[in-house]
Formats: sequence, structure tokens, C-alpha cells
Amino acid sequence: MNNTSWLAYIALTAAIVVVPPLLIGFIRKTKARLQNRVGAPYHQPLLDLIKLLSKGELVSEHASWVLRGAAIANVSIALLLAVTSPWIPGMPRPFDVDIFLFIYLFALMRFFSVLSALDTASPFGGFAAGRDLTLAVLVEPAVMLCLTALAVVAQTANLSEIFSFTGKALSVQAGLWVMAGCGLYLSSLVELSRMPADDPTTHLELTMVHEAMILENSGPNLALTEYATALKLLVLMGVSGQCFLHAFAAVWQTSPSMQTACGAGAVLLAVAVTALIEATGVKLRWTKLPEFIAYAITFGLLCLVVALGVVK
Amino acid sequence: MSLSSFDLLLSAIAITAIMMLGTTNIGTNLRLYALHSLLIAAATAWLGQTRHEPALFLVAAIFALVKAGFVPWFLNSIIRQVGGHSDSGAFIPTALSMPVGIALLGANNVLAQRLPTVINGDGGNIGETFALSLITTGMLLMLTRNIAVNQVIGFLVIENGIYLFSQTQTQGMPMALEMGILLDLLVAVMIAGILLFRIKKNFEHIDISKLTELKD
Amino acid sequence: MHIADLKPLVPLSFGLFGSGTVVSIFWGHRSNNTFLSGVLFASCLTLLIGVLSSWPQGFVNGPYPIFLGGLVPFAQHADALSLFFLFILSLVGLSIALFSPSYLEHFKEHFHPGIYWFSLFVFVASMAQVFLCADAISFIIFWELMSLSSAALVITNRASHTAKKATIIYLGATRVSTTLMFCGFLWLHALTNSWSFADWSTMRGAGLLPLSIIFAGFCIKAGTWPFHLWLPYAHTEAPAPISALMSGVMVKVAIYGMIRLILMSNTASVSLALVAIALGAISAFWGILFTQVEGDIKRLLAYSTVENIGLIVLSIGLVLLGKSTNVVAISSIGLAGCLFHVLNHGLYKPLLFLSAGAVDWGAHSRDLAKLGGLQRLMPWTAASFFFGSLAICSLPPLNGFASKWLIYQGLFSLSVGSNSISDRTMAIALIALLSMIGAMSVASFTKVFGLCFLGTPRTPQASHAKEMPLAALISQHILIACCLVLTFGAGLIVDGFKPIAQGVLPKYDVPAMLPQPQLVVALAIPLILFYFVLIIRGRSNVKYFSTWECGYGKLPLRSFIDAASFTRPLASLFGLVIQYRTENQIQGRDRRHFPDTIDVKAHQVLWVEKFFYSPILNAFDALGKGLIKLQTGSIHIHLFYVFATLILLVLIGTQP
Repeated sequence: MNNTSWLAYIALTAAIVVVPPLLIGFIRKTKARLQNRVGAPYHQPLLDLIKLLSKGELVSEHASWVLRGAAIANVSIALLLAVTSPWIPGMPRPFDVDIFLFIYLFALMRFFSVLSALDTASPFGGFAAGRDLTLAVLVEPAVMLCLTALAVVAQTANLSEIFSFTGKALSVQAGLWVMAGCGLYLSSLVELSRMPADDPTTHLELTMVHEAMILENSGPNLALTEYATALKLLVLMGVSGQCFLHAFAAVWQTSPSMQTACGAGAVLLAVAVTALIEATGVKLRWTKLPEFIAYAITFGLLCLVVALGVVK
Repeated sequence: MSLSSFDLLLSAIAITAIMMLGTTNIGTNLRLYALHSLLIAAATAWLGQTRHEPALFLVAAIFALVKAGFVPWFLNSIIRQVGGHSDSGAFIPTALSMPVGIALLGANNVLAQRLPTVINGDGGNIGETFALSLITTGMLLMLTRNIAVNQVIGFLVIENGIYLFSQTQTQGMPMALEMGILLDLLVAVMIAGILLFRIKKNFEHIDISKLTELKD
Repeated sequence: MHIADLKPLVPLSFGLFGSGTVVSIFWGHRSNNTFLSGVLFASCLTLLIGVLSSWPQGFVNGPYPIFLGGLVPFAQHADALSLFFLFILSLVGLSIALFSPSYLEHFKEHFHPGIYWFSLFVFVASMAQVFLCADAISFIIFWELMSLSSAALVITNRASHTAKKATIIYLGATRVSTTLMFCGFLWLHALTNSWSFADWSTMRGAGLLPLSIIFAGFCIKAGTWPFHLWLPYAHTEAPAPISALMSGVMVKVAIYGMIRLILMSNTASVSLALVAIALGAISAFWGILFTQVEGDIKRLLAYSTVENIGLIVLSIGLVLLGKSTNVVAISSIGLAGCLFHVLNHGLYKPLLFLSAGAVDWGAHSRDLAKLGGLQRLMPWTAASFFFGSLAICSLPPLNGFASKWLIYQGLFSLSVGSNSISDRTMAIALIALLSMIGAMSVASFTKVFGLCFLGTPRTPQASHAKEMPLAALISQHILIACCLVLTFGAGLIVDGFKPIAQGVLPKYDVPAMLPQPQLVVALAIPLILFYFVLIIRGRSNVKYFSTWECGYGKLPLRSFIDAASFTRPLASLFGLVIQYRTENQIQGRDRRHFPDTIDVKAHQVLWVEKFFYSPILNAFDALGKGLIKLQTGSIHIHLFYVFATLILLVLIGTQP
């Protein structure tokens, strides 16, 4: 390994540690400014994490090793996702993942978070876990359709080859990239429990999903859970932002370092749009959610149509 | 094969139409319809550029004014007076009607390949596919909705499809004919609006699924 | 001594099975279960060693003309394919031998040990022999022995009325299956004038119809949709070790038959391939959909078997499609996926059934509404069920993911490599469907594990649950160890299928597997790091208190979530198939404001079962009632029937 790749790895590690909480802070700040509030500083979530890590932990007497094990497992999986999936161009990767592993790693995270919600015998956690699984059943085909359509055009299932700017067949398909980006972005909003699907700022709504699942976590356990969610935000927003970046790359070619800079911009933009939706929109009723996810599936199906039309 | 920029514009037109299938909120539907018509106006202007027909620019401008401006505004004001801005949906679940629309898009592609291509020297049948898909999408919209305003919107989408199909098949219709159709459309929408008022007055709702009581 | 010298251990194991049968006939009611399970353990171990030493060349024992009255020479032909299935059988046999003795205490006086052990020995031995048959006559004889002995095992609990019903349904399914198979066999015999599988495989074209009939027969035995009905009944009512054997190995015998007779023949047709793919996809979806609403652990596992068999049949369809269109990549990935999934499912499904049996044994219930919080009382069973759930949801990095990944890869190569646009559309749609099925299996197994082992006990009997004895726990952990070996050695295993593939495909060409070991390490390093840094360091800083519940304080037991409410949001998406009915009964004087009791009952109505299968079964019932009039009881009339049939057959037979 030469010096530049060492440097790249160090930069990547630093980014993975620091950026996810900052993204959360960015969403909160943007939202606050849009609602005419000052808002907490950008690095507040980082400080919150440090504070939580140093606190003690209150655990339910019904809880088993699953509650605390799940948080650790989820952070490990989220870290693996963050170092292997292409959320920013030009990132070094220890090994490649393909689209199937990518989706199943998210499923693995869900497995653990659902179990930790059930572990404390809390009815809130249980109901929220049931809802989370329901959303996943609808979202996973949407993500799979978008990614498979890209993979079919690229003729490879390797995620980093699909997002490499080098595939000839894929680099001219601006329309496909935009549709895949829309599909992935909408799915990410649901997967991350952001606004139209779930309100990340309320804890006592009857239809809450993510927040009710982590209701019983506290202290370092909560810190790890929050950090894993933030990592997930980075990866999913990154990947959907990347899709739009590739759509632009069909018309504007540039150097790799510029691509990395634009990639960072794309992540920020995707996160800013999320904040905008949260500041202006309202949470959908639970019964209306399948109709919202249907849009993600529709974009996936459109990707499929384009991919079938394109590859002869 | 890769999609040209004009094809992308046409696909965006078809996608906005399919998106209309997925929402039951009439306000959102009208906004999507306005966007959809605006895109068609842009496509018309594009054709005027490539075919060097300045008249098409005028068509595009009037098209945008009437279909993206007046019609959505008029229907919106009717809804505000008549009430009922959400549709319960009928026949198939709302969430499923978009995938059905896409399946019909695929079927239209098969249909378009069988049609004799008149112009469009590139040999592609993308334009025909999307134009035909607008017609089927409009039909689907009329079939799957209960509130009468949505039938009007579905009809308008079908009309847009026919217009687009004529543009892809021929060099476009004569200017006078285009204007005449637009005027007819305007009148049709106005009449539909008046009818809606009458229906509301007589039945106290505009839900066409309940009109079966007229059977005997 | 060379490893290959151990080959005679396979026939020796049959001798041991035979002696076990004899012992259980004569002394079964007196000898204790431990001795007989020891015999089973020894014979399965012998079989395992024999199989491993014969891999991959196989062997031929016989022919011994004295068997079967000289109709066909009876012989044991083992090739790589047979050895592969025997390997699964012997492993599962080993673990159920360890599990059985303590589990059988559960049934106490309701079962007859002699019959149980006799049937079990016959079951295992006949299943092993089915894999070794090279001709149709002996195949069908041992197939029948296997079916009948397993039916006798399903009804082990003679006091249970539901077990009797299950046995009737199961026997009905096996009858139809055997009839279809035998029709196909007779037809093939008429075409080739031979009973030997080897002669049948060289046939082209003409064999398609009889093979399709045989395929339908195998589908019934395998339990694919729409023939899956017997699985939930038989697997639920049989004792846990028997369910493990039936689900882990017996349904795979049908898969073995499909590979042996259909994949290994020259008759490859696109239409049969598409039928297999469609049946597989529908079974997978149907099975996993019904796991959502099941509240009985073993029934849920049975439906999950339908799902997994669906995936296996789907990949068999892929192999057929690849063979008929001459695309090596698709057929070899499909074959690897099929075999690997057979192997995986043959290990983790018995594991789950044994754990479910342990729950049944310890907490005296299989109903999720009556369990809960067992993790504290049965930590080892909880661990094995946890592992099994992770594996069966095919979550990375475990072995389940490796085989699912291969099936995905097969579909992906179809979507990239096929020339026909309909095939490609189908492949991508199937990939999306499989991902949905994956999400749904996560939903159903988190439900089982969460509601059964986590939280608090919902009933007093669950709070007094006890762990099974050591041998039963070891039996589960043997299977876990096997799964772990498969996880780390996924690449080697896939390469190891080469001798099997030689009989099926002209060329075996599989892409490099995912780096499973690296994946495990990449996940384990942060896991261990965080564990030590946070949990160990922060242990002194942890306080235990009652669950917070947003400050509501201690909630009553019945406010906790149960299986029906947990899956209700998911099941409501599929309202066409599953409908919820809620019945409220409010009692009391002023019922609206101060009710005395509120009784809410929710139950699911399964539309298809109600409106599709019930009419068919009722029609059969009516037909039976009509036919019963033919049975007069008079000997003369019966003799008349016999002669009439004879004359009819002679007339048909002498047609030019």
C-alpha cells in the first residue's frame, strides 16, 4: 500500500467517525432555519453522542443480552456498510460488496433492531417493530429493482463497479440514473424513518416507528444506536445522491478529485432536501404509507423498463 | 440504444401521467397535470425548433397557457366550491394502479412496434410508446377514481396523449385544427365544471360510484 | 488404513438399521429409549463415515437377486448425488438420535415406543435406500416404505385427534404422489422397455410428458404450491425429531428425484422449466406469507419449509432453463444454488424444529401467545433458535446467505445473459420478489424469536419452563457447528459440487463466491471491540429497573404485543389473501363508559383456503359418499366388480 492510499484510508476513517453526526446536525440546523429558529449548532449531535457515551445505563429488568448486543451488532454492520458501499466517489474500499449483500446487510440490521425492540417487553417497541418490518417488505423490492436495473445495464452486480463512472453502457443513461436516484431516495426516506414515513422528532405518537423501537435504550447503548442510524443516513443518502451525480456525469466529465468534491456536495444536497421536506411537509397517515412507497416501487419498475429497453 | 434528450422529455411526460395514478389527492393531481401539460408544451416547442416551424411555438405558448394554467386553476376553484378533495379510489388499490400503468407502458411498447412509423427517421418508437401510454394511463385514471373531477382529469390526459400521438405520427396537425381542438377542450372542461355543480346540487356529492342509484 | 477402505461401512450401517428394527419389534416396549437411540446414533455415524470415505466416486453393491422376488436385481448404486443426500440424512439422523430420548418423555403413556422406534428405523433406512436405488421398481418400493413409516410416525401421539386428521391428510397426499409417479414410471417403461434410471436418462423428446407427470408427483411430496397443504398438518403434529427428519430430509427426497430423473435426463424443455420456476416462486411467496400469520411455532416452520422448497424448485427451473437454452453459466449457478440450499435447509430447518421441540418440551406449548421470556430459562435453546433464525432468514454472513446469493446470481445471469426479453423481465421481477420474500422471512422469524424467547413470560407455564438435558442441547449444537463450517467453507463447498454436476451438466462454471470469511472477520472485529470497550467497561454503571414504557409504569401482561397484533400491519397489505376479523364483546350495565369485561377476539380468515381448497375437498367428500353406494357388502356383487374390471382391462389391452 502506498502513501496516498494510506492517506485516503485515514481520511475515510475520519469521515466515517465525524460526518454522520454532523449530517444529523445539518438536517436539524437547516430545518430550524427554515422554521425561523436559530437551532442548535451543527456539531450538537456529536456532543450528544459523547455525553451519552459517558453516562450510565438504565436497562429493563426483562431485557436479555439481545438489547445491548443488538446495538453493538448494528454499529458493526453500519460501519461495514460505510467502508464498503460507494457513498462517495474515489473512496478506497477494503473489499467490494455486491447489490445483494448490500441489501441483505440492511436486512441484518433490521433483524437486530427489531429484536432489541421486542427484548424489553414494551408494547410500544413491539408495535413499532411490526410497522418497521411492514415498511421493509415494501421498500426492499423498490431498492432491489433500482439497483438491479443499474446492474443489468452495467452487466455486473458489483456495487462499486456500477458506481465507478467508468462503465460505458451506464455512463450515457442519464434518465436511468435519475429514475434510480428518485427510487432510492424515496426508499431511503422510509428506511431512515424520515419525514413522510415517520417523524424522527416525536416520541409519543401512536404511529411512530423508529423512535418507539429505541425507546428503552439509554446511555452508551443509545449512543451506539443513534450513531448506527446516522451511518445509515450517510450511506443511503450518499448512494442516492451518487445516482444523480452519475446522471450529471453523462453530460459533464471531470477529474476524479472534482468528482469526490461533487459527491460530498451531492450527499449534502440530498440531506438538505430531506430537511426541506421535514420543514415543510407533514407525516403521512400510516394507511397512506403504502401509497407513498408505491412511488418508490414505480421508479424501480420504470428503471426496469428502461434497463430492459436499453440492453439488447 | 440510448435515449436521446427528446426521448427523455417524452418519458418525463409519461412518468408524470403515471404519477397521477398514485395519488388520491385531487389538488396534487391537478398540480401534476399542470406539470405534465407544461412538459408537453416544452416538447411542442422543441419540435418547433427541430422542424423549423415557428407556428409550433405559438401552439406551445397557448397550450401552456390553457392546459397548464387555466384548466387546473378552473378545476381547482370548482373543487373548492364543490368540496371533496380526496378520492377513495375504486376498482384496484391506488398503490397498485401505478405498477399497472407501467405494465401497460410495456404493452404499449409492443403495440408501438407493430405500428408503421411515418416520420422520425431514427426508427425508434419511443415517442409512440409514450403517447399511447398517456391514452391508457388516462383511461386507467378514469376507471380507478370515484370523484367526478378525476374523470375530467383522466379525459384531459387522454386528450394530451392523442395530441402527442398526432405529433409523433405526422408532422403535426394544421394550426387551425390545433386551435379548434384546444377551444373544444376549453368548452368541454367548462361544461364539465357546470355539470359538476349540477350533480352536486342534485345528489349532494360528486361520487360517481354512487350514481348507480340512477339505475331505476 | 486408507480412507477409501471404509466404504463397506455403508452396507454395515444398513445392517445396524436392520438390527435396530428387529430389537424394536421384539423388545421395543420394554427396552428404554436411550438404548435404541444409541443404535440409531451408531448406525447414522457409520453411514456418515462410510459416505465421507466413498465421496466422490461412490460404489456399487450387488445386485442381489434374492430381494424383490427376482423381479429386478436389487442393488445399491451410490454416485456423488446419492452420497450428498445421504450425508445430509446421516447428519440429521445423528442429531435426532441424541435429541429423541429426553424428548419422548413428553409423550409419556400416549405413545408406544416399540412402534415409534420400529417406524423410525424403517423410515431412516428406507430413505437412505431410496437415494441408492438405480431402478424404478426398488425406488418406488422404498419410497412407499418411507411414506408409510413416516405416516406411522406422524401419529405417534395417539391421544391427539388432530394428529389423526394430519395423518389422514398426509396419507392422502402421499397416495396421490405415488400414483402420479407410478403412472410416469409405467409410461417410461413402455417407452424404453427398461426400469433402469440410466436407460431413461438417454431418452430425448418423447420422455417429456411422463417426466412431467413424475414431476407433479414429486411436487406433491416436496410440498410446493398448490400441493403444500399436507406439510403444515404433518409437520405440526409429528414429534419434533420426526418433523426435523421430514422437513430436513424427506421433502428433499423429492428434490433428489427431480435432479435424478429430470435434470439428469436429456429431456430439457423450456415449458417444464418455466412451470418449475413459476411453481417455485409462488410456493416461496405463499409459504412465507402464511408464516406471517401463524402463531404456532411448528406450523410456522412448516410453512417456511414450503418457502424454502419453493426456492429450491425455482433453482431447478433455472437449471432446466439453462440446459434447454444451452447457457452454461445459468444452469451451473442454478445447480450450485439448488444443492447448496438443499444442504443448508437440511441443516438449519432440523435445528429450528429441534429447538421448537425443546420449547414444546420445556414450556408445554407451541403457541406464541402462551410463551415469552424463555431466553432466561432456556438460554441454550434460545441461542440455537437465534442462530437458526439468522441462517434461515439468509442473512449474511451465515451459510443461508451463501445459497440465497447463488440463486440471486443465477437469476441475475439470466437477466444479463438471456436473449429473450420475457426471460429477462421474469428474472428481474423474480429478483425483486425474492428480496420481498427475504424481508418477509426476517419479519416472521423475528416474530417467533422475539415473542417466544424475549420479553416476559405470558403464562405461568412459560415462566416455569426448563432447559432440556445436555444430550438434546448437544444435538442442536452439532447442527450449528455444521452451519458454521458451511459459512466459512462456502467457496470450497460450491467447488465440491463438481462431481455431482458432472452427471447433470456438460460443464460446471460458477463465479467466485463472496468472501464469506472476510465478511465474518469484518463484522466481528468492531463487534468485539465495542463489546469490550462499552459493555465490559460500563458494566458497573448499569442499573436494572422495570421497563420504562414512556412512564406508564408496570403494564398488565395482556397489553404486551402478541403474534396477531405484531403481524397485523404486514398482513393487512395482503388483504386479498388474509382477512382479519375482530369480534368485540362488551359486557356490563353501562356498557359504553364502564364496561365490566371487554373481550376482543381477532382471527384470520384465509380466503384461498376457504374458497379454493374447501370446495375441492367437499367435492371429494361428496364423491366418496356417492361411491359408497357401490359397496353393498355382498360377496357376489364384489366378485362381479372384479370380473367386470378384468374383462374391461382385457378389452382395452387387446385393442389394436
